[in-house]
Amino acid sequence: MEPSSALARVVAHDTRAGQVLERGREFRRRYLDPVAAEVDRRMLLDPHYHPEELVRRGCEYGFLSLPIPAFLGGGGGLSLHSAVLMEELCAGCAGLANIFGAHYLGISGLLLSFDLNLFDRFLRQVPAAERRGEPLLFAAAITEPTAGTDVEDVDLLPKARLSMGARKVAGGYVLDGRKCFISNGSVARFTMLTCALDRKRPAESMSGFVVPAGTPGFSVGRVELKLGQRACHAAELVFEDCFVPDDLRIGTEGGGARLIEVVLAASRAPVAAIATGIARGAYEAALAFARQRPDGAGRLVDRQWVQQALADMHASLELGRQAYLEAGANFDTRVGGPLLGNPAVTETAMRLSAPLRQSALGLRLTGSEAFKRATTQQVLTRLEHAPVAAALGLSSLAKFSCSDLAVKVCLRALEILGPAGALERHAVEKRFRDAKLTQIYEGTNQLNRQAVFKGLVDGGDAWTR
Amino acid sequence: MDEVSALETTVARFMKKEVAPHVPALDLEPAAPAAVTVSRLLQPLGLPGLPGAEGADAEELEPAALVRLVETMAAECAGVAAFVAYAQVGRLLAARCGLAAAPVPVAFGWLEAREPFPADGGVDVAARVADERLTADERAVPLAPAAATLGILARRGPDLCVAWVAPGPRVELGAPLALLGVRAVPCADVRVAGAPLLACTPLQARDLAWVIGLESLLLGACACGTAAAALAAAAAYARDRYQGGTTIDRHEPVALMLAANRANLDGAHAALLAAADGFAPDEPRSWRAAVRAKVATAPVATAAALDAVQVLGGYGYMRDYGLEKRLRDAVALGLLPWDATRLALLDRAGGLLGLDEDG
Repeated sequence: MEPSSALARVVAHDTRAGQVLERGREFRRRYLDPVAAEVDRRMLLDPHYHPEELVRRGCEYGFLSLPIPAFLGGGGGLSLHSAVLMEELCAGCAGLANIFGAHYLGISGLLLSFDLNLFDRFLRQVPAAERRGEPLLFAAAITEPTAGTDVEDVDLLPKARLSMGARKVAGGYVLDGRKCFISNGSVARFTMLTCALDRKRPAESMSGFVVPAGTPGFSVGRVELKLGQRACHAAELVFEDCFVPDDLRIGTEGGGARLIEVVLAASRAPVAAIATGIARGAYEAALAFARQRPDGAGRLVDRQWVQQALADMHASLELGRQAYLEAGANFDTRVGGPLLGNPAVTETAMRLSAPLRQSALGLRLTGSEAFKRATTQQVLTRLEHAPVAAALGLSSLAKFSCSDLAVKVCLRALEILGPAGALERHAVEKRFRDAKLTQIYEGTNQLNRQAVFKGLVDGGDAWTR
Repeated sequence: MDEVSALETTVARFMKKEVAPHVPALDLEPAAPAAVTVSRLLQPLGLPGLPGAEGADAEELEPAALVRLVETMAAECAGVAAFVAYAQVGRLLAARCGLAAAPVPVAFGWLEAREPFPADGGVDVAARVADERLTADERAVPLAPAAATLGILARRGPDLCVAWVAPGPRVELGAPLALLGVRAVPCADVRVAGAPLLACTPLQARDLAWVIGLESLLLGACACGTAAAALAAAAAYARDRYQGGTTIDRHEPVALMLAANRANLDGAHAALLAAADGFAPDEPRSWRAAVRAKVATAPVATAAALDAVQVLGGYGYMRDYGLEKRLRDAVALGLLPWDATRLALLDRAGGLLGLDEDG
C-alpha cells in the first residue's frame, strides 16, 4: 500500500520519517515477511523461544536506538517516527514488531522523566550496544495481577487493589509483589516499572524505578501463551525482597503517576499505529487473495461485495493513519517539545556537558536527590496539566479508534477469504489474533474512551488552545 | 424431561468428565493425532456417524436433537462439537445418497481453490469423474484425516455428483492443516489421482442446498454454544474482578457489553432452534431458514466472543484462561461452511442455488 495522503504529507516534510519508513519497509520485506508465520507457529509450542537473531538484525537498521536522543548517540526519533515505523513493521508481523515497540515503551519511561543520571547510565548503553550488534532491550512494567486499568489512570489509583509495593530502606527501596503481562519482560536487560511506596496512598506515592535483569530478588515468572503477537513475550515479573538503590529511582519519589500519564500520552499513538499496521497486513493479504482467486470466468475481486469491503477497509486504514499521525505529532509538539525545550539548545548543552556528566563526579551529582528534584521541577512540572491531558486524550482516541478498526478490518479480510480464512496458511487469521490485543494493552479501549472524555470532551477545548 | 434433554444432560456430563481434560492438548495437537484422540474419546457416547456406533444400535437423531447436542458439546469444546457436526453431515449426506452403510466417519469435500458459487451463477467444481475414477485437486477437507469414507463433490459430464472413495494409495492426504479455531477437527488437503469409486451418486441442486442448510445449522449451533459459554465465563469473571473499588459487572460499559451480547445471542439462538425444528429432508424453505439462521448467528457469536475476551482484558488474551480459544472457535465457525456474506448471497441469488422457496 502506498503512503496515504496523510503519511505522504508527513514524509514530504520530515526527512527522518521518510528514512524510517524506508528502513521499515526493507526490514519487513527482508526479515519479517519470510519468518512471521513460522515464528508464530513455533511460539505456540514454545513460548520461551525468543527470535534474538531478528532483533539483532534490527540493530543494523538502528531500530533499538531510534527514540533515544542524538546527544546520547541515538536516532533522535520522536513519537511520530516510532509510530511510522510500527505501522510498517506490523504490516509484516505485529509480534516481532512489538519487541521493538515494547522496548520503546520501556525507554520512554526513562526518557520522559528527563532524569539525566539514568540517561547517562542506561539510555546511552542502547546505541552503544546496537553499534556492536548487541540488542539491549527495555521493558515497561505497569500492569499488576489485581490491577490493570486502575494503575493506568491517576484518578483510579486511589481505589486500585495493588499487588506490588515498595518500602523505603536505608540507601534504597525494597520491592515486593508481581507485575503481569509484561511485553519483553523475560528478555529485557532493563525494566522500567512503577509501584506505590504507600499502598494506602498510591496516587501520591507511586514511583518509577529501573531494575536491571539479574538484580537479586527479581525473577521472571510465567511466560504467557497468547492468542496473538506471540513473538513478543508477555511475562510475569516477580519481586521478592528486591533491593533497588536510590539512584535507580526514576525522577522523584511520588512522581510515578505523572510519569505514567506522560508515557501513555506518548505511547498510545504508536499503539494506534501497530493496530493500523496489522489492519494493513490483513487488507493486503485479502486484496491479493481476491485478485488471484478464480470466480467463474473472472476473479473474486470483480465482485461488487468484495470491492465494497475492500473500499471500507481502505477507508479505515486512511482514517487510522490520520488519527495516529495527528496524535503522534500533537504529542511531539505540545508535550515532547516543552519537555525538551529548544532542541538545538538542549542538544548543544547536553553534548557539551557530556564529559562532565558522565564522569564519576558528574554521575554522583546527577544522581543526587537534590539534582533529581531540581530537574523534575524544571522539566516535568514545566508541563502544564492541560496539554498532557489533551495529548493523552488524542493519543487514546487514536488508540481505541485504530484498534477497533483493526479488528473490523481483519474480520472483513477473513470474510473475503471465506472458509479459507480459517486456515493458517493465508496468514489473515494471524492478523486477526494479533489485532485483538491492541484493544486490550496500553489500557483497555474502555479506559481509553474515558481518557478521551477527560482530556478532550470534559476538558473542553484544551487541545485546540 | 424429554429424551433429547436427557441426552443433553448425559452429553454435558460426559464432555465435562471425559473430554474437558483433553481440550488444551486437542487445541495444540497437530490435526491427525487429534482425530484419533477425538474418535477414541467420543466412542463411549455411541453417537451415529462416529466409529464404534456402526450398525443398528446407533440411534437416529432428528436435526433438532443434533443441534441441541452439538451446542451442548460446544459449551465444553467447540472443536469436538464441530467434529461431531461434520461427521453427522457426512453420514446424513451418504444416507441421502443411498449409502447408509458407508464406513464412518464420512468426510464431505468442498473446494477451496475456486469460488464454488461464482457471480455468474451455478456451481464451480473442479473435481471430475471419468471411467469410474475420480480425479480431484481438492483442498482443505475437514475431517479428511479421520475419514473412513470420502465424498467429493464433482462433475460427471455436465452433472453434479458425489464421488465416494475410500482412503487409499490414490487418495493423497497432505500434512494436517492448522486452523484458527475448532482445531480438534482434523483437516488436510486431499488430492485424488484416478481413484476407483466406491459409488457415484447424482446430486441435484436441492440436495446441495439441503447439505448447505444442514452444515449451517450444525456449525451455527457450535458457534452459539461457544459464544454462550464465553459470555458465561465473562459474566462470572466480571462478578469477581474489582476495578475502581467495585466489581466490574457494576461498570456500565461492561454491563452493557454482557447484556447486549446476551440479547443478540438469544435472538440468534431462537432463530437457530426454530430452523432446526423445521428442518426437513424435502422442505427447501427449511433449508433456507437454516442458512438464514447461520447468517444471523455468525456475527453475533463473533461479537459475543470478542467482548467476552475484552471483559477479561489481559487474562482474556492468554491461553490458560480459556477465552481466547472460545474467540478463535467462534470466528472459525463464522467462516464454516461459508461466511455469512457468501451464505446470504447464496440465499438471495434467486433462492438457494437457484431454487425458489418451494424448491
